[in-house]
Amino acid sequence: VQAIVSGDMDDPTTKIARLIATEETVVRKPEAGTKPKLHYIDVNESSLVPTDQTHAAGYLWAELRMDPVLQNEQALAEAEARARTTYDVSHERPWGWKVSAYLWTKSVSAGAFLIAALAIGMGFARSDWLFASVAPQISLLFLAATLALLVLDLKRPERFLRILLWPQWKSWLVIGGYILAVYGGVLAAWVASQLLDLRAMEIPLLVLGAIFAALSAVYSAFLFRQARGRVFWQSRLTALHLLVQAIVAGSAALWLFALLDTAVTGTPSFGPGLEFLYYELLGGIVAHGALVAGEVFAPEESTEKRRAARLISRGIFKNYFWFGVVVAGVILPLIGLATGLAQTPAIAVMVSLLALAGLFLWEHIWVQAGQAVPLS
Amino acid sequence: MSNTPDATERDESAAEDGLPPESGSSPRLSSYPPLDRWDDWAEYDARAWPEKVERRYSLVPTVCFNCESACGLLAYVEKESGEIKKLEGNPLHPASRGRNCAKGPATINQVHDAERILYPLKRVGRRGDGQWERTTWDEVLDTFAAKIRKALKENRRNEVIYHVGRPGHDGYIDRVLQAWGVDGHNSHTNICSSSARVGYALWQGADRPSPDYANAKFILLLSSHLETGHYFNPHAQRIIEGKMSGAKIAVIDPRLSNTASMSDYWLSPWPGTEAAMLLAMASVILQDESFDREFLRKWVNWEEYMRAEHSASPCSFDRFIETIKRTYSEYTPEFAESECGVEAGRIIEVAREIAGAGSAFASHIWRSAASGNLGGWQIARALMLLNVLTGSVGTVGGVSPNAWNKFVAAPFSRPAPQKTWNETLWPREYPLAHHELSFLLPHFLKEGRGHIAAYFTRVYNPVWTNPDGMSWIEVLRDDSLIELHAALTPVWSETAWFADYVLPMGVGPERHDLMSQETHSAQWVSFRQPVTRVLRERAGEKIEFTHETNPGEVWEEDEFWIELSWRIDPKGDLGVRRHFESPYRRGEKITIGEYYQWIFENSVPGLPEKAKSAGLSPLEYMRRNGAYALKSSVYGLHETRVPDPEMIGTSVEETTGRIIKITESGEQVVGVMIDGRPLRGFNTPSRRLEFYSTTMRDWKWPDQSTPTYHKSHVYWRELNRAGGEYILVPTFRLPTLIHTRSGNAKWLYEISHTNPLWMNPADAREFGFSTGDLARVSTDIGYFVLRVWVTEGVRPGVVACSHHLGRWRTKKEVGTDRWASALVDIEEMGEGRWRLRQIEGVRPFKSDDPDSGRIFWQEGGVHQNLTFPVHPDPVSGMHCWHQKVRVEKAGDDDRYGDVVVDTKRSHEIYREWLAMTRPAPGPNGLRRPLWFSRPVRPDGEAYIIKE
Repeated sequence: VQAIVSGDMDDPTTKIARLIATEETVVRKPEAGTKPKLHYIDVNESSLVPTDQTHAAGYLWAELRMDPVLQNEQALAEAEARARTTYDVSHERPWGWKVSAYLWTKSVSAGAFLIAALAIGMGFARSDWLFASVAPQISLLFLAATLALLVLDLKRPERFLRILLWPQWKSWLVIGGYILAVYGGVLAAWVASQLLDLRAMEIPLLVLGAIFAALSAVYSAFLFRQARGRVFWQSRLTALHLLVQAIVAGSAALWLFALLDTAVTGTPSFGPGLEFLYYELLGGIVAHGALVAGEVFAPEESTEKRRAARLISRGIFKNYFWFGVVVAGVILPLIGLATGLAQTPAIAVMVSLLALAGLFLWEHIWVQAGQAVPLS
Repeated sequence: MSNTPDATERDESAAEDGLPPESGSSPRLSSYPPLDRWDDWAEYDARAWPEKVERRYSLVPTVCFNCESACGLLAYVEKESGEIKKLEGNPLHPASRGRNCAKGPATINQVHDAERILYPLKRVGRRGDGQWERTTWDEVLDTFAAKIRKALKENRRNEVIYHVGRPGHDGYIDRVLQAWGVDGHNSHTNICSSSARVGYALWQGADRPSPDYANAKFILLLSSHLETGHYFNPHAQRIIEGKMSGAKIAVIDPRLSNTASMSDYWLSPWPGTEAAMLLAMASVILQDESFDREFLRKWVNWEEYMRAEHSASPCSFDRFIETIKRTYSEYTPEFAESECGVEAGRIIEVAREIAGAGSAFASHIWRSAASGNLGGWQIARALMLLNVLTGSVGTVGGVSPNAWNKFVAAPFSRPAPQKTWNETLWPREYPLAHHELSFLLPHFLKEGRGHIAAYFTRVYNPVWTNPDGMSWIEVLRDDSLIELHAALTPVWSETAWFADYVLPMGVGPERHDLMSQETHSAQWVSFRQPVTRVLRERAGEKIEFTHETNPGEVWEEDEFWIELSWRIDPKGDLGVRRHFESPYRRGEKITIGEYYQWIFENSVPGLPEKAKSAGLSPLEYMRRNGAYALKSSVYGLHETRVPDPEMIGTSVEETTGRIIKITESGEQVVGVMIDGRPLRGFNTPSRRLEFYSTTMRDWKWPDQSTPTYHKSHVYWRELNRAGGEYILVPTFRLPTLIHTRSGNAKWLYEISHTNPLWMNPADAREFGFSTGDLARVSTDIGYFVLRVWVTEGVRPGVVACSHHLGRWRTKKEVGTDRWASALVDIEEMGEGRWRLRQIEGVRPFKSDDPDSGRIFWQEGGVHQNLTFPVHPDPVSGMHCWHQKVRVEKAGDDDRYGDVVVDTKRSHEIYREWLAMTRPAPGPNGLRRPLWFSRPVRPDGEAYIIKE
């Protein structure tokens, strides 16, 4: 009698290879495409499907100290469970505030330069200090914050260089690291070229910067998607949504600086460059609102995705979502922008701040809800 | 790294390791370090991963000391540091075969426990106040030697008592106590297994079953052997082997144990009605005529029964069958359904499965229903009746008497049996009690039935484990009742706290013991040994005592008893000393190595030859292999022919066929004539399986002379269910804990640390309970407060709470291991009323082990046993554990873990149960039937009551 058989599956003479060839075996989540190497024989289905189980009442012989998010998720799902887990090792959600904050700083960093590049490219105020000078500096600052958050979130932060020096090219953590590094290089070169007045560099750097800004914004969609068991993050909308988020964040951040400038120097608060920001922000928020609705309310086959969405709209995140993401982050800014109220500087500041805050909340609950449905 | 094993490497050296082949599917591990590389084994350090750090080990076998199964362990002793780094299974062990449960590898926690006691401690201040100072072993030995010597010289031979929980050895202490000439052996067995033992002993003489699970076709369990119990790990392997070869399993248990969840049939009767169901199954087999006629005719004492009870009828076998068919016809499946609450159809189905398995029907009851209920021994008898009817006794796939499969080796000297009888342990009220009335000791002492000069508790924690622990505290702290008390234990316990001396003793890999258990149809011995001592001696170092290589000043008991005995009788005038003189060096004190050397050279048949063929001395062989299998495939010994030379001078009793030899010490029955052949038979007075017990008849229980249904003290029809009354099943164990001896194993406590009250959803709905709610559970003498766990895994009307959890200590920094215990306040409220309340639960603490700062569990469980009055069964002496309780929502003043008890009420209940007994003398003025076994059996003279 042997409960666990291990060995070389590629060698057809081994016991494990024979068992896999002759017995009916099942694996966990084959649809995730991870080609699991752990096969089960004669297993109860519910023990392989975490969403079939409930942990809501704790464990029989051990105390279960669930964090409030997991507890709420389990409570919402209790009625649907087909099996009750009486013992397990309690798991913590691996990604916390640093990951949400990283998404947000990255949105600002990518968005600010992207917007500036578009504005410059479209001929708005080519020499405007806002686009040519402030935007790249905001981008650099927020990129630095992004990198710091990324490194700090590693289990062994002191070994972050290994990721880049001994790269695993299949990992979007690595690819993303290089994207951010190149983006940082381009931004630095832009700032330097401006200081040295190297006009010839402007166009290539602008194009390159815009490309890497967009890549910086978007790559996280692929990074999250590599967590293949996390169905909520597998959405096809994510890449586009991250780009939209960068546009919202970039335009709101630049607009805030413009308004600050107005307050300090008394330059007019409205002009063609700012108008551009105004419409970018308006468009970005409309798109963001639509994409959020798509993520949360689109009918969904997958249990995991439904449960993550439910946690957002009806569970522990519902106040963040309805008041923070929807009302403060989308509806109020839209009202301000669409009615023209935002032409008043004070209202404009409010609109920008609300948009940035709503964005942060969305990114936070997107990261948290995506991890809340049990994987094992 | 040539000798680092590949995970799939198949090792063939096993064939030469001395183990006989065993039936069953793939009983061996497929991969393990081969024996010839045990002296120098290299493997990568798992903790250093992904770095490849090679570590070199010496592998030394020992035996687990966490339950009584005696599974083999293999200690990995790092060469560089000389420290034990981990313990895995010993692949050469015939019973465990390299596999272990969680408790085996957790032994490493016990070795390195930051809380362990390293030096002998002496009480300062009053007993129980918790003030201790370090003392020397010399002082300890001299104090006890003087006390015992004085008692022996004044012939107060009943005042020295050794009280043991887990013996962990076979017979070592019997020799010591008999050398002292005291009747002082006290065990824990009457809170454990006495009722099942009486049931089995009445049938077959041997008091335990040895089921051959691996070869069974149908297995019926009233025990949860896939997860706990004796002998959990060896049995679980073989039950699964049987299952893999097609056996079906039925489990009778009011609770859905892990075992029940793996079975084909889970029968969940009202607790205490099990015998009614088993007898209904017997009745089905009888009415179906599917029993083994020939086996019954030959091996059941039906003639004795017919002559005594049906003398008007002709004494024929057919008449016997008719009679028992009629007798058991009242146990219809329908009757059983109404009595037990299990569908009649299901009972018939299982009965037919049993009959279908025939001689390959294995069954087992050890504690569970037998230990829970008044008359539990009748449940064991009813179960064994099914084996007798199917002829599955002593067969392949059946059940054998344990004596066939256990081997106890004789030591070099055996003192004469003591001539005294200790009535504090073996009172007249309980002539048939299977073991000492240990848990009544406080009540006996309070009644003035005895006085103790020297009291040793060893691996025994009565304050916590026994019912009515507060009465234990009352007696233990009274030095007019117990003059001197030493607790021999590796760790703090609630009982050690009330001792005068706390003497630290070694855990599994720090001591010597020789053990054998009836785990399957074979016979083996296994050798527990102090592994670091073994290695240092192998390297040529001279080591006199094991404590030299143990941590701190931790001793091993074997050496403690030799030293103590030597000091009791330094000159030999008491006759004690000579039993502790070396068989190899005349007149000198024996060493522990010599003790086992002699046994292996002289008392284990086949071992010297086996060792010789391996080029080793017998001791070296056992030190290297850790175990030796004497026999495999032991079946049908009752059919063994009595050898002709032994027949000389015998006579055959005409009516019974018993073969009797007259010797100097009296009549001796050596066998029985069956169909004209002289056969060994069974160890009963009739040499047959005793359907009818003349012993029960003659010792005032004629109404119980055959297997019958005995109503429990917790009979369900007497419950007021609308008033919130339930039957509490408090006996079941957790797969990962060891009574009160796992508080020093952090891994085990991390896995299991709470014991909620199981309650069926129907009951929970009716009374408004949800999982996690606090409930107050009231017994006849008090109450306890704990959380509810709502589950379909328990019968409606029954609640269940696991044993093991709810450990406590009264001082913040010291006491019962802090991995496991809550800090409590014990308040005496006068008139025998006590309250125990948690000040705080389990908390992280600072120690050398960083894990102690990472403790995440907080509540630590609830101590229910304190609230149980004693319920001694009038026949077996077993404490009948089940309780009738009232469960209600906790009140505003109730807190998690509260325990309130009234010991005066408890004493009254003791008197009520005592009144149910039918005291000795029995026939011929005897205290006890002579054929009943008794631990540390006294001289025959002591059996006769002289006024």
